[in-house]
Amino acid sequence: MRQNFDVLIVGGGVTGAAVGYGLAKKGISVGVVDATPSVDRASRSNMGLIWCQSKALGNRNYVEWCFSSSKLFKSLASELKKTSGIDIEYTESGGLIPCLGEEEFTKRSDYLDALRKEAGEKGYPGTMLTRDELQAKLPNITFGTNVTGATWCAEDGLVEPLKLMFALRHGMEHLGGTLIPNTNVIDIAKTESGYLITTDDGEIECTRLVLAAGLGNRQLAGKFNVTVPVVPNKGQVFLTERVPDILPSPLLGITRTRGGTIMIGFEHEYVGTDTSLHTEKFCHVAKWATDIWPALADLRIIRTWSCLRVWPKDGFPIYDKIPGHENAFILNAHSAVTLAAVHIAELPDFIMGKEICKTAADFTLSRFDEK
Amino acid sequence: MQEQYDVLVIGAGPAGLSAASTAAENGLDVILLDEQDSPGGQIYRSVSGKKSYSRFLSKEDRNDGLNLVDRFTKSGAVYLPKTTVWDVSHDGVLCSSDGESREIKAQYIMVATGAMERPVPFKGWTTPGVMSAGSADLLYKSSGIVPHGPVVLAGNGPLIPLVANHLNELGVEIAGILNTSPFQNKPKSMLRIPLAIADIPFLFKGLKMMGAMFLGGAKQYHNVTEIEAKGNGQLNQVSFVHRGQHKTLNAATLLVHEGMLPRTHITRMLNLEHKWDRVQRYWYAKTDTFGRSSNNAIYVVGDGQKVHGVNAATAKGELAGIDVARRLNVLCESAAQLQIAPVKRRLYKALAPRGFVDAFFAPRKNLFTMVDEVVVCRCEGVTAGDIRQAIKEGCHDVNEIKLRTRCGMGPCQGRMCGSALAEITAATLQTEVPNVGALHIRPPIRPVTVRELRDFPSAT
Amino acid sequence: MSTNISTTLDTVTIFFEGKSLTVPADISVAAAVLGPGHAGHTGKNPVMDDNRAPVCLMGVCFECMMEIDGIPNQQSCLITVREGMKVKRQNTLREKY
Ligand SMILES: Cc1cc2nc3c(=O)[nH]c(=O)nc-3n(C[C@H](O)[C@H](O)[C@H](O)COP(=O)(O)OP(=O)(O)OC[C@H]3O[C@@H](n4cnc5c(N)ncnc54)[C@H](O)[C@@H]3O)c2cc1C
Ligand SMILES: Cc1cc2nc3c(=O)[nH]c(=O)nc-3n(C[C@H](O)[C@H](O)[C@H](O)COP(=O)(O)OP(=O)(O)OC[C@H]3O[C@@H](n4cnc5c(N)ncnc54)[C@H](O)[C@@H]3O)c2cc1C
Ligand code: FES
Repeated sequence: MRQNFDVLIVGGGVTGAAVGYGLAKKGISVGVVDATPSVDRASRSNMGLIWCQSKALGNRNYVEWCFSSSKLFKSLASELKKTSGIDIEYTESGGLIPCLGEEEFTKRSDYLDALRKEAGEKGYPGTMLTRDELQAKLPNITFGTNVTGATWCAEDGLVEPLKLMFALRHGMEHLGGTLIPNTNVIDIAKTESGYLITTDDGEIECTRLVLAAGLGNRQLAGKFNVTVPVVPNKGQVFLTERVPDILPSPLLGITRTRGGTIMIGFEHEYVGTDTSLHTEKFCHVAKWATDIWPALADLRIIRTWSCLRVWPKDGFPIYDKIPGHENAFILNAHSAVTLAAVHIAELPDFIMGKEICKTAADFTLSRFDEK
Repeated sequence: MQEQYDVLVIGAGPAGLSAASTAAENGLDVILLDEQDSPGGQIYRSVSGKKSYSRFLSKEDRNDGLNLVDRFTKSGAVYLPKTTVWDVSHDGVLCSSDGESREIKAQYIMVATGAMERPVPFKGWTTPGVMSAGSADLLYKSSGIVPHGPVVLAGNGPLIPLVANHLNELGVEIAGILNTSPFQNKPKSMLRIPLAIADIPFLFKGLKMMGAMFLGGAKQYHNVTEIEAKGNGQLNQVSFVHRGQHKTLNAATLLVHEGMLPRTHITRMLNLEHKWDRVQRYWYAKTDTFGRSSNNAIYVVGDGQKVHGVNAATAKGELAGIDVARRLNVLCESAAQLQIAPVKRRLYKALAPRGFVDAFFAPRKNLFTMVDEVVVCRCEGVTAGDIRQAIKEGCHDVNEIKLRTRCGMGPCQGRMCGSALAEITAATLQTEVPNVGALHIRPPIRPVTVRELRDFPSAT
Repeated sequence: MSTNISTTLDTVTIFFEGKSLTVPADISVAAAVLGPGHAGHTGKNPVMDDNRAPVCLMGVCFECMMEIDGIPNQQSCLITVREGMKVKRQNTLREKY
């Protein structure tokens, strides 16, 4: 028998799973179909930062969008524990961006000032910490001599990203949604009442269709003759052996997981879908990391990986209807971990036919045409 | 300064030593890297050391080992001991020694990293005192130290009688030998005897070993199931089921062995084409007779390609050495053919009994049917039940299960749990192992410090 | 103390958990603590907090990790003893970093 859903989401990464969870919460019949990922591994390879600060000067809506998501995480974490049984290990850790040298400190400081100015009377939660203030915040760390201070934002946080993805999926199933794992969507056809999806394991019917397949959206949107302006952006991460709890707040690029391992990585590269690891890059990151925290040098790296970010060309999310289709949608976002909570809160209504909230109204596909 | 060689060999066992010697003797610039402190690999561990530990090898074996090392020493190849290779690409390796990493380049790379014992989880296998049978062998060969008795040996495979014999000679109390093979393999393997006759000395040795073990008087239990290691923080008993009865033996050491697997971390990291051996149930890198893999610049030789034993490993190494000399034009085709012919004959002779041995010691069907509470991933404490639960939740690929459960994420990087994870997944999904994926392997395949990366010569 | 003394001596003295131990000069740390040292276990697993000891002695299992001369997580089966070496069982989490 052919499965049939009100909403079918293609892609069970953190974006698809969050929207599926949100829809299931509303009692809507939803299915999430997810392939065993090959290149689309962003949700399985990221750092798990809920990161709001020091980004997106010039796009006030995006800034607000991130902060509003962060504010929802605490309740989301306890809700997911109930609906999925999984602890996503959310920590209200705040976040730091360490500065090396005076010049970087000034640059960071100027950037924060500009963000604050842009925010106007709403205010901006980021502040600069001097080296002494940074030391007071992280008393167990001996910083490198060249560390001049850091930016600090209390609204940044941390989750275990794998647990988040699995919790959203199980929570959705618990609330009545259906996960169709290990299944690849091959074709999509418009029918009178909706869409017919062909997979490598049979067909699925739905009234509304959501493409949330990360980089896979590029192929899927092709079925509608639509080009999605997202590009792969490679990041490399390395993971060390376990250390005691000495880093309560992440330094952007150096994070301690709840399990005790340290994750290091922040590189961005545009190299197509090549995910081979490059040691030279690691050398560079290792130098940067030990300049900040010299004792890291003694830690042993036990795993590394590289992965492709799903990078909309201007860095901001895409939430839109596929041109000419009332009931088919495209969702793509970088920082989809940070945005998961607001995705759950806001995107289901949009999928079900309402206007998207004002903050997200500019994240259209058509904005790319104008340029 | 860039180090550049014609050929770089990883592993100083019989395969690597003979590959390196052959290539060097033919005039090539060769370097051989090994993480041990002296050449010999697993069978000839410490064979050339000043101590007489290697008396546990038979006289012939010891001579073979010494000859291999001697030939290598004279060949002119460069030898880097205590050096661990942690990344490999088509034109070089990254390796670490004494806390420093460096890059060594070569036109051809030969992976000769040998075999390891198949890790099979069972109740209590994380208890100190439980070791692999091969480790006991390595312990007395390389340090003259024997495990504390009473010792129980358990499993199925040629190392069990070998180790039992040696321990017996050394006066270690053997409390019992638990044979886990239900004889299911035996009739099938009998069919292969005619081929095995081509290598009578080999078989003779095997039979003699079993005979000696019998004479040694250690009590043997056949068709044993439900082995459990017991003891709080230290092994003191081994319990099992034999002929429908629960039995218990006092033991300070339990040595387990369920056959061998090629060590494939490097070949899988390189994404070489691999095949699944359905009898021995392991992945191996596909190569031609000369050890050429699916990557033009990479050879895979010895037990690290397929577990064929020491004589085959030596011959395979030589063939690769000749082939690379021919490819680099230091050896003309006709001269190469002259060298190849006798080595091939030795190889075929060594391979002749393998069908028999592989079938005789094939892993039994219920090897991975452990109960839910058995810890599979020793590093991260993931149980068989956790894995089965993740599969139920929709994770059908071992990498997806790894993400869900952390199975394979610890320091051993899946070496100890990888086979079990794949077998449990395949069994739960009622499919074959090749259908459930293989754990992704990425550098570093051995932990390296952040410092080593930072101070890496090319980092500037 | 010179570090390469061991090549000229047949035995070396190491310190296991503070106690001195005279062992053959060319054996691995794991062999030294398992044999002459009667260590039983070499560390604890950081997740399960139970005792662990070497399984393979050939660099595969990572159960032999010990603190050697102040550096934790060393595979003791791949390291040869040296005169004066200080060897400690590995605790659940490293105390130093
Ligand atoms: C190194 C790195 C670090 C990062 N750190 C952070 C961070 O700290 N904080 C943060 O907020 N963000 C971070 N990100 C970004 C974040 O990981 C991504 O924005 C997010 O994972 C994107 O999720 P997604 O669900 O949109 O896409 P994906 O994770 O790519 O998921 C897409 C899913 O769709 C499936 N799929 C694809 N095609 C098909 C098909 N045809 N049929 C069926 N299924 C299909 C795939 O199998 C996959 O499961 C990081 C990214 C990287 C690479
Ligand atoms: C524990 C054990 C004991 C054995 N005992 C016997 C026996 O008594 N009698 C018998 O007939 N057969 C024995 N065998 C089987 C025998 O080892 C093989 O048939 C033969 O040694 C294979 O030779 P090889 O050269 O392919 O590999 P090996 O002899 O295993 O040599 C591989 C070498 O590669 C090195 N290596 C691996 N990875 C790396 C790396 N990343 N970087 C640097 N170096 C690396 C290893 O240190 C090793 O020295 C034993 C096997 C094992 C595993
Ligand atoms: S004992 Fe297995 S890695 Fe050292």
